[in-house]
Amino acid sequence: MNVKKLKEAVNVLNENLDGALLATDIWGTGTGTAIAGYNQNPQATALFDKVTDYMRKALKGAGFPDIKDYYLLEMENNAMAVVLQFKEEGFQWGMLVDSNKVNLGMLLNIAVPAARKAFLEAYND
Amino acid sequence: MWNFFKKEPKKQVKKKSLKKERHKSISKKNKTSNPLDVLDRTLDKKLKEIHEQKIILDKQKDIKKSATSIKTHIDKPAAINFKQKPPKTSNEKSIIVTSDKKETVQTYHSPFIKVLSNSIQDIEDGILLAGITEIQTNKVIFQKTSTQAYTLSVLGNFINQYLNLIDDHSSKEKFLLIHLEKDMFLYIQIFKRYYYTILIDQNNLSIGHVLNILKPELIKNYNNLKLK
Repeated sequence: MNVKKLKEAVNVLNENLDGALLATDIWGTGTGTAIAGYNQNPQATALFDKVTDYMRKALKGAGFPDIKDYYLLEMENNAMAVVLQFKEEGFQWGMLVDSNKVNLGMLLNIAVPAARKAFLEAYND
Repeated sequence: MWNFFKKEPKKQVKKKSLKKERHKSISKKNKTSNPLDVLDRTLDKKLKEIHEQKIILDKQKDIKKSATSIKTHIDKPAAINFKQKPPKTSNEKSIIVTSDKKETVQTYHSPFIKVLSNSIQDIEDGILLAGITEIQTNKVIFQKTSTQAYTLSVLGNFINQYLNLIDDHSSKEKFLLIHLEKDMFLYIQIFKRYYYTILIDQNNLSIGHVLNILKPELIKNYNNLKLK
């Protein structure tokens, strides 16, 4: 894992979201502790790690396929949480976004794929 | 000789009965005093208890067996149905109601069912599963096929856990969108009392359509109910 590249990946995300990024954290699945981020929130990291765990268990229990790349949650005060999944690598990347400042197309089709690519580059380096 | 043989059995009977009486009197005496007999009775009791427990365990085993067979029965069609379009019915109102007041309950929930039916009527090709669950009771009030009730109630547990975790039980509607494997999206629209679950086939319905058309339509239809 190249930590410098990981920090660059966070910067790329911030640039792509053009001021809409409120906070972000990259953490190890199961540990709930972050390895990089912006406006970091350790409580949120631990909480979303748990949400992902509950969600995966519920999907499995219901006979649904597993989460693939991400899940998205609409929250109060125009906030939206996107949690990217790196299942093979054992990491998750959560981001809290102001939905008034960025549209979903921009978020899901540009920012998320770019962030995913940047993370994998940092991880494999 | 004849007399002798004729009388003999009578004597034997008498002897036997005497023996019995003696035995009875001894056992009556021992019932209260003999420790061996007390032990015997406790053992009898224990044996009875063990026997009863065995019967209960056997019953539990049977229930477990039938439960697993039901589960596999439910799981298999659900897994197959992901790529298949669920069978269409004229009304698609297979409501789970156990009480006798079926009609009353159906009428009570029907506006909420109509919200979903009206919102998805034009895009049914892209929808693999649709259902409505009451948040508080985790009761499935509507589902497209009978195999989905179990699926929806499992998801219901998660929704309650999620709402507790984020500590948000406000009336403001919110949604969850989960990108699943096998080209599927799970879209869950949460309202104060109910949540709507829709499983989307990504190949037949774009996520843009879900968020830009279906979502506002659902919210609009639901809010119209409140105004009525």
